[in-house]
Amino acid sequence: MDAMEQKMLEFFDRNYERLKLEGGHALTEDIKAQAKLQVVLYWRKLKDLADKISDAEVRIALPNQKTPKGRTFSIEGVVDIVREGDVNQMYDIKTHDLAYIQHNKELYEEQLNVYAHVWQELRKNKLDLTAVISTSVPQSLRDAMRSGNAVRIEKEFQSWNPVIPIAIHQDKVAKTIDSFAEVVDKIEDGVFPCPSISDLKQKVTGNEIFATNVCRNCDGRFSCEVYREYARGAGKGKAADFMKYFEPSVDGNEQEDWLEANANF
Amino acid sequence: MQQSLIEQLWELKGFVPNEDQKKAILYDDKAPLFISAAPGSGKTRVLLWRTVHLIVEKGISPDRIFLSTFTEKAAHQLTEGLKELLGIAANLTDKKYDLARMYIGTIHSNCHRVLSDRNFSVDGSRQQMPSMMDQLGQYLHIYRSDFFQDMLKVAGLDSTVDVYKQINLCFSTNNQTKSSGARHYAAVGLIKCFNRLSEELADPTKLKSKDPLLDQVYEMYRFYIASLSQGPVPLTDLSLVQGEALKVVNASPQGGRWFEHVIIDEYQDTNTVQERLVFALAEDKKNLCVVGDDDQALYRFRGATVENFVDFPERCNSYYKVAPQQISLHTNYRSINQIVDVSQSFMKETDWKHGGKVYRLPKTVLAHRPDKVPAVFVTDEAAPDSVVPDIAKLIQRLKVEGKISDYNQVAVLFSYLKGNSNVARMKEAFEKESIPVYAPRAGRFLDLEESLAVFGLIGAIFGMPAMQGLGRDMDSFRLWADNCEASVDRLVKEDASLKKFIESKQAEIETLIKDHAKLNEYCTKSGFSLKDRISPVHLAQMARLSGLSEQIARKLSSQRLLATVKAGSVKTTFAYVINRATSLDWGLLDLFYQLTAFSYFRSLIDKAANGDDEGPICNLGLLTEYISRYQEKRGRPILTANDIAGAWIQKDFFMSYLYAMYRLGESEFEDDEDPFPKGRVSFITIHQAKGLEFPVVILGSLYRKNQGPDVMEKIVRGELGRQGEPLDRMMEFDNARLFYVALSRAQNLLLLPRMKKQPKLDAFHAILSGVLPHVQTLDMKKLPSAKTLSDENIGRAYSYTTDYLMYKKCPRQYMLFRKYDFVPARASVMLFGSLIHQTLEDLHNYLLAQRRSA
Repeated sequence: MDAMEQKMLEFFDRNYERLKLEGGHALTEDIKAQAKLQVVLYWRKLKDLADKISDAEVRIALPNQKTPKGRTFSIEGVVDIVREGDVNQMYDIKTHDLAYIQHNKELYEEQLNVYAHVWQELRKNKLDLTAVISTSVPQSLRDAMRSGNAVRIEKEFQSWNPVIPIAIHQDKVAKTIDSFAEVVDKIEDGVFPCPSISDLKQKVTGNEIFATNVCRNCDGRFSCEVYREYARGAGKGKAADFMKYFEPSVDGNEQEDWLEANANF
Repeated sequence: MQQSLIEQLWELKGFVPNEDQKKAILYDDKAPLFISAAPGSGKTRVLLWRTVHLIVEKGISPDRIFLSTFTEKAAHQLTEGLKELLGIAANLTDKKYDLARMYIGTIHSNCHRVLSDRNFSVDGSRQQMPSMMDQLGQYLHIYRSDFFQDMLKVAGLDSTVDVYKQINLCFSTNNQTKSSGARHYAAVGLIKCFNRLSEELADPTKLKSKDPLLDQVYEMYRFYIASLSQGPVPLTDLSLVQGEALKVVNASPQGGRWFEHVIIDEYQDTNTVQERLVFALAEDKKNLCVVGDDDQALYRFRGATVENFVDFPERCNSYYKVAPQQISLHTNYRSINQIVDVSQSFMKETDWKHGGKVYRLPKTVLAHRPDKVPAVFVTDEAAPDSVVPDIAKLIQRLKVEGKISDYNQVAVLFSYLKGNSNVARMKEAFEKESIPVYAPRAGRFLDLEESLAVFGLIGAIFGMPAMQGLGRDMDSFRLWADNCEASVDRLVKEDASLKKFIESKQAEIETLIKDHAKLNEYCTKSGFSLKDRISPVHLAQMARLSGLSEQIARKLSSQRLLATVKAGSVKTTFAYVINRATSLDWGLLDLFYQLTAFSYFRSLIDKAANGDDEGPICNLGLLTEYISRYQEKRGRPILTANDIAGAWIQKDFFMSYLYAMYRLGESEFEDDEDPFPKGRVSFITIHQAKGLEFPVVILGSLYRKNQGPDVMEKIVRGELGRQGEPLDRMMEFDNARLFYVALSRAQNLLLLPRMKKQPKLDAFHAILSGVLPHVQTLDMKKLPSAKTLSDENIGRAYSYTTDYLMYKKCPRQYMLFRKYDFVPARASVMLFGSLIHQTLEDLHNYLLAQRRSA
């Protein structure tokens, strides 16, 4: 662990204490360990980029928008900016998984193009490149780290590519903002439907569907009628499968992470 | 003339400040600013815009601003507002405004931050941050029987009922608890006393009293203070933390210099140590801005001294030798004319003069709203049982006529909720008219239907504790446990699958206990102690033990566990391996979510998803908070067979944690930030209504008993020599302030019920004998409709990621975790994300700074 990593862990601990105090609740040890790992690996993987950031956590705001029902709202986001000579780059750091981002790239294209719109039109800045950075550690790298096999770790580390370039094209910005406005009305009106069963079967990453990638990690799945229908269908309705529905959502490895990290008996 | 930046922003946001507001926002002299703000005078907006002015126009870095609010919720709202306005400003200036390091929170949380802030350390190192005990944590620390016993012993007292009675007689506020011999009340009383002593900055080493009991209490206080530094991590409590922060600030060369501006909201409710602290923090620049209203001081019972506010000019003189700039925000934008007039005349009914001094700041409040319609009404003067149905019918009419669009636009305000007969009476009458009520604090939170069901089911799975103690509270808790069981019986009858679920969980636990016993037996037979380190060979042997369940055998053969054992750290003892293998795969919060799979809970959640009723889902959200707080207090979410065999759930969860919650529920938690769910009329305390406004306000009663000054007031006057409002008038003043807050919450309609045979404050007699119209004369056509959200031009900032994308991903998930703040069992996405983002931001800024200095 180099000096910078030490420094980062110091930042990490301080932020954790403050956020815990503000939010009133903590992270379990396993999740805290995952967060720590993301931070450290970000530095190891993207040292060069990190060292070029010229504006950290820049707040992007598109104010005074109106919803179809007449509510006023503003859109807000946070990005990091690299200004190198004449070239401006905008990065959006995401903590969720790479596979999901890659598979749902159009969502992020829409997002970064709204930010680009603010950056170029409202703030009168030039922009040459945008990209999403996923700090989430890929499953294959995590597995390699668990194995402790140095060669395998190095191989997985090298093949990990957390930066996903996003094309700048401003043609969909107005449409995206309209869609955002509709969501604001729904949130304010308290409209919160479950997704449909076909949504649950939709692929959201290269090999995972919504039900396994999203629902299985969501505590809300138990009370969700649609997930229930999906789980029943998948379990073929045998009586013996009834309890299966309640088994830990995570795979064996993650369950052991949970146990191991929290095992301060 | 060219517009200034702030004027451009005002125009963009459609904000037209009045002259006083403008003066307060733009005030730039290096002398304290004393803002007295009437109800509805736009105080929050002024604070918001003043902060924007400082950051955007004056170039003050946000981390050099100390802004404190009365609640975390208020701090959160201010932060949201600032984010939005600074976002707009950034578009005009292309500058970056970063709020992440700004001190914005309650004084308590800001103080806690000061303790570990490197800017205040003497040698540049960071101090170890003490762990903060909240109200419950402090109670459990002191109430614990061995601790309590030792504490009394130090003071030369025995732990007997007679001693508890003495303490209760001295510190309790009501007659019932005054004569009680329960340790619980003694602990509550002593805590009140300790906290006040801490807030008055009493030096423990110098405390001495002629009163023998007080002298013993001082001895106990010293014992308590000493106990906080004896564990591995130092502890502090909400009262002490402020004095500790003051010490750090006073000792640090940067202490009085770091903050360019110190802004304190609700200054009328600050206490002695807080005053000392804010003057110390602003010492160098003297940019101390306090905002408040002496008429709205509510928290004397918690040690607040309204004198800090009323006497602020003299205090400035004695601390700084300067006079503050005084600005009075006296235009009320909230209420219809008549509401403002009635509240004002109500205050004038009290004689604020005493011994040649006036204990109220002079003021004239003017209504801004043009509507000159009747807005304050009275009911018949009749027996409560006939007044109350009329009130319910009125609310029904308001709804039918579209004067309110949702029941949550009506609030019924009480001076206290628990055991208040008018609460039950009104609730019943409202429900008869099919008006749903939200009153989670009217009874105990634990007595709510949702709580009984959840805790009952946990009890059904693990076994309810045997409650063998004596005393009134224990009897009542036993009854609670019975109600939990009855709730489970009902649920199980309606839902056969729930029964099956409980049985399968019980079976799982039973197997676990058996396996646990077998593994322990193996150790004993093989001559190992549980503390011995385990070898891979013995691990393998254990995994092969005959009769072990398949699941546990599998866990013992896990490659991960083997690797851990091979690596051979100190922790890999027999006990560790056994505990790890015989842990449940789920914790209590996981169990809560599993329970939501059953029809009773699902239907409660669906009610909110359909927009029908938010009451139950809010209660379920609070339950996730209760359970997660327990898991945190305990230090881990995992339950081992050892815990279960040792009846941990019964002893620790039920009899320690829940029982404490249950008993503390007796006292009012005035600052609980409960939601105001859609579809329901809220019954809340006047304290909870502080800072809020409602289209329609109904007073639950017009009286609070004058019990004379609290014992702690007498103690701090007599023992510590503090000065203040006359003791014999104090409660009268406070009662007037309390009901003034209630009256001034109303926007369009204020209803004063006239219930026969119920006492009224003297100040109300004059108001009621006046010419207030009868509610039957209310002309619905003239009454303005309650504003809905879209009428207000205060836009909310929505995050692209945590609002839009999260909603698009799954609206249901958004509802539970973002809208209703359910605490997730495993991963808190929000906390997780913020933690990483802020750490990376620190990294980037650190690298930037390094490059700059190179």
